[in-house]
Amino acid sequence: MFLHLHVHSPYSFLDGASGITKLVERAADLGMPAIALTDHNKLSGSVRFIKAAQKAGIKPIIGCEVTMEGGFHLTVLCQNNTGYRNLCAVLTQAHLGNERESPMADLHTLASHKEGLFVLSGCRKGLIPSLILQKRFKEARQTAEYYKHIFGQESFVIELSESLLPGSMSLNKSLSELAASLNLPTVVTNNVHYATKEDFQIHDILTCIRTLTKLEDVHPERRLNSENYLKSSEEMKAEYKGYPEAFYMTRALAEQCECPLELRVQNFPAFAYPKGFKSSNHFLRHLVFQGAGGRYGKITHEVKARLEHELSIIGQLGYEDYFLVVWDLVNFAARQNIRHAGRGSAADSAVAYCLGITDVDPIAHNLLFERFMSLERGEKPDIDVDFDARRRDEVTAYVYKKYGDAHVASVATYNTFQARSSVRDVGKAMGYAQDEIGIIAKRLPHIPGYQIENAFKSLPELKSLDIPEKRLKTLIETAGKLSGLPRFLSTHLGGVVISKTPVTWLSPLELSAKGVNILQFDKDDVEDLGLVKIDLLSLRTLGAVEDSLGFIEGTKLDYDRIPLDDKATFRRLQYADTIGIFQLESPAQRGLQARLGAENIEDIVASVALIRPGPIKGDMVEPFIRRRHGEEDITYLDSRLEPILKNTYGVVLFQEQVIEIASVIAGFTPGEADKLRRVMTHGRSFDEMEKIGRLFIEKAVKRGVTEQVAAEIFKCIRGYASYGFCEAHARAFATTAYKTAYLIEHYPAEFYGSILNNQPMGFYPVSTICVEAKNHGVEVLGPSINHSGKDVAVTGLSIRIPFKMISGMKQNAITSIIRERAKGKFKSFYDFTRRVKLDSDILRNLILCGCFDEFGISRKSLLWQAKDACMVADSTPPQAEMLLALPDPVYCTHKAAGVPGQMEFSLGEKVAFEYQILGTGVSAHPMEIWRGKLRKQGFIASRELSSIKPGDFVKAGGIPVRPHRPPTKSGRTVVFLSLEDEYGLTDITCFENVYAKYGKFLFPGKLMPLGVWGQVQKRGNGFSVTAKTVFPLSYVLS
Amino acid sequence: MSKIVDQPVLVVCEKGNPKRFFWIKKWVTVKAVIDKWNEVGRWWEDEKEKTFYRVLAGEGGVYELYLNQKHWNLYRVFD
Repeated sequence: MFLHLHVHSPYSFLDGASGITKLVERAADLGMPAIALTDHNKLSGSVRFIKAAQKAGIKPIIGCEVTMEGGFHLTVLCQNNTGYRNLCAVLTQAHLGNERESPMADLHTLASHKEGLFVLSGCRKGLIPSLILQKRFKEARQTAEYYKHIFGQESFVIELSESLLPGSMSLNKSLSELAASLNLPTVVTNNVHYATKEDFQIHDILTCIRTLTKLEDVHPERRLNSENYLKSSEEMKAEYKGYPEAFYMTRALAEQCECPLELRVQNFPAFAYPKGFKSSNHFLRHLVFQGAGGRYGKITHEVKARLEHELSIIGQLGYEDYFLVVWDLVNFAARQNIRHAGRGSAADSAVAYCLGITDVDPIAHNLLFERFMSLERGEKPDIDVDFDARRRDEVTAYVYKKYGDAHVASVATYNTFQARSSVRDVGKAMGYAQDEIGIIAKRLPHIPGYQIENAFKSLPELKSLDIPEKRLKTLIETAGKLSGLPRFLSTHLGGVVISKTPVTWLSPLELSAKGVNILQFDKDDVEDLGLVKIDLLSLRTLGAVEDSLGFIEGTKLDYDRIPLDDKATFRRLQYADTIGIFQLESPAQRGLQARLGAENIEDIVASVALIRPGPIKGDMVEPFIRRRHGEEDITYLDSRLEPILKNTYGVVLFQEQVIEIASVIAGFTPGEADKLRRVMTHGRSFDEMEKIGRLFIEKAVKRGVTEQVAAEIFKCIRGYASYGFCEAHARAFATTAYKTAYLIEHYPAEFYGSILNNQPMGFYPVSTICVEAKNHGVEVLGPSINHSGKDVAVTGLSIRIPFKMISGMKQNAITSIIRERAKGKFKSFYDFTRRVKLDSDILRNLILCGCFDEFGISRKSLLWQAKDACMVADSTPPQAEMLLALPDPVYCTHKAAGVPGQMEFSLGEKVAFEYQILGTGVSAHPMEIWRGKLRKQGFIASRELSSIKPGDFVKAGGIPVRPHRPPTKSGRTVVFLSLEDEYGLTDITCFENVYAKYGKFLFPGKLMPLGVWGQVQKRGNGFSVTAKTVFPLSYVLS
Repeated sequence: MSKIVDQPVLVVCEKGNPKRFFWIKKWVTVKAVIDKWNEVGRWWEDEKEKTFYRVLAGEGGVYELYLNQKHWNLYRVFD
């Protein structure tokens, strides 16, 4: 029986078209006893490959197609773990010793790491085959002799890798003769790049994407035929019938290779505890009880019992070192004043609370430790800590310093093809125009690729595309087939691993675009490799908080002691005035706040948890609000549910409650209860849900609950399916939400300024934040060449837009301006251009966004002066000419004519440029310019909405902000969006019939100010418009 | 030098390989298949894969034939 020793998976990144499972299953179906994985210069697919092969009952052989110096290929196979480590070392050298994304292994490095490896001569891109194809037979022989010498006769193998290509017959004959003459073994491979012949088309498209070519183009990387599939033994024998010995050797070589990795063997380092302690357990106990003293004052019996319980589980599972490592990081951050906050289920742990990792007291809030860790589950706990985004790297640097570069690396993430990226890439390869692709991609929601076909069938904005049916069908089908394939490797947001052994024993390292060394595996794979990941996440909100505290003058605000019962802050929430507030600013949250009438931190905890797909689809929001206001009785299906659900008015809101219900009602073990939570929260299959439901009812009945009540309770918790928060996480977020609300209430200029300073962050664009700031009495000053800095500046109740917000601005340009200004303010535009030399496009943007307005010369006139200035500075007239290639203003109908002199742009043109360059208008808001005309036609402004009688019909207009289709309890599609005008936002709801008719305007794929005619709705303190018709504002303004 | 012909020809096969073909009013005998390969063509326009044969004729000439589905063409003649 034949087997394949040269196989590429999608982890060859754009050079493998079939998933690992498909490849392995096909090999198993063909009766092959083993299969190798040999991706280009990466081992990223290894873990999944081993798991898939073990599941299919065939032997996995790990290898790699290594690019050598000069660009030649060699196929390398691991015989054992020693070979695997050596291959990791070779690949690390290949990646880190060369330009990023151009790995090339050094032959001598490979030779010095040859132990445990088989080296095959490679495909046509191997040096020996390449020399033969060039008829340089003597050099081919010399090379083979040399390889034989350095790798050894037993380890260097001649590979017959391709048939049915021009020249293959003679190439294979020559290779075979060469092997015979040097007494080298020969094997047969098929350089597999996809599982079946039909998958060739996907591979061809991927090759076009990789080589930036179109299908119509010719490129040497594109394969001539579709023969590189996983062929059967019979097919291979028919093609290589003259080489029976090579077939025998292929099998013999595979038999000498064993799976080189044992998965899930723990590899976490021991924490270096101080002298005087007997073990890490001893030191952890010391820290925990010391911390408990600080947190609780007196350690009560309840606190002690809880801590002992947690420490016992941590000890039994052997995770003391993990807790100590995280404690050490958080401790470092605290010492360096790096703002941080623990999040996620770690807040269920009193140990984490006492170590200062989290700030939520799980004992006071009766939070369930078993949601975080349990003996039965036995899994590594996941502690996530958010750090101020700008200083997170300092914490990472500390980890590297403490544990050593050889033992620390960042986790990778596999960026996979999603709907939008697939359509963009396939569209380009198919020759679609750039604009055309842009519109299609922007109209697609952010969905996985496999949902593309369904989206094109169901979404009105996609159904209305003006593209020939057959062409569109090919695009959709092909893009769908790319779904989920990895596109490229990048750095995980915050995951680093710390390893007991050098990390390169388990994974090659390569340089990420960010400039850090990353593993070739993602977060799931590193766990299978036995590595423990620590998430050092960055949260821009923490940066905004830090900035605010820096801006606040006078009496320093103690952020950690902000009172949690500030009436003004809660009043702001009750009026849904929450734009800019962490977690509470989305339209759905604002709608909730207007009705909920939050009065305490518990209401905010509930708010954070309520606006999630699980509670929304489970129809829990309305009952919660009614019960919160005493408008509906709180009832329990079983009296034992009362203590569990009392705080949430009988509504299942948190994951911890699901676990407790399962334990109390059905007697689920912690492990069973956690399985139930996982099945529900990860949207597992219908079958799994049914299965665990039956178990729940069966066990509940055994404990005396009637079948009907048990089924009813399960129905309630099942309604929670898809996704919900754990209470600990909601509490951690709620505290930050409240504190940011407090800051925005009492220090609006400081906090709005900080939001602008930390862009991109939050739900809304810069323009919305600026409108909100203005409406709260904060003046937003335009950028100024003499007054702006790199960052936002806050003075009293005014915010100055910084240079970094200017589109196209570069750090070195900012530094030049500020350095020169320190010598003396710029006196004129001429003075500036004489002292600071900038790229013409940056200078153009500075002019168009008003940086030089203080010199009293029109922007248009400055553009003409700049043309001369740039010609002097760059001595490149064509670049200067580009200054006059002005973009089409977005909101005005006449073009900015290139007329010299003192003429100025119209207000509309100025605002259009400001929007393009700053993301917001400074001279005015676009709607302000049109207000008079709109008013004449009966349009109201956002601030007038609350004065309209609910039920009345109105016309509203503005710039659409964040149209989206969240999940709804009915399952129907409802589009929510806001229309931004100069006074704020008007929230719009479009039900399915309106969406079906006007989807192309709601999701146009480009910026399009909209008008809406609809009915005013009032819910609580909030107003919105339910749209009946939607139209581009240009229809009524032209 | 070679000349692209790309015209249908009648081919007689043996064990899947061309044995002789009819070209300019006479049968040309295939002495040996020198090379054989497949070409996929413009699949996005529904073009099918072709198998090419470079053959050495009994009279010493070198020809390229291709099989497109069930139809044979003489593609190229080498001088």
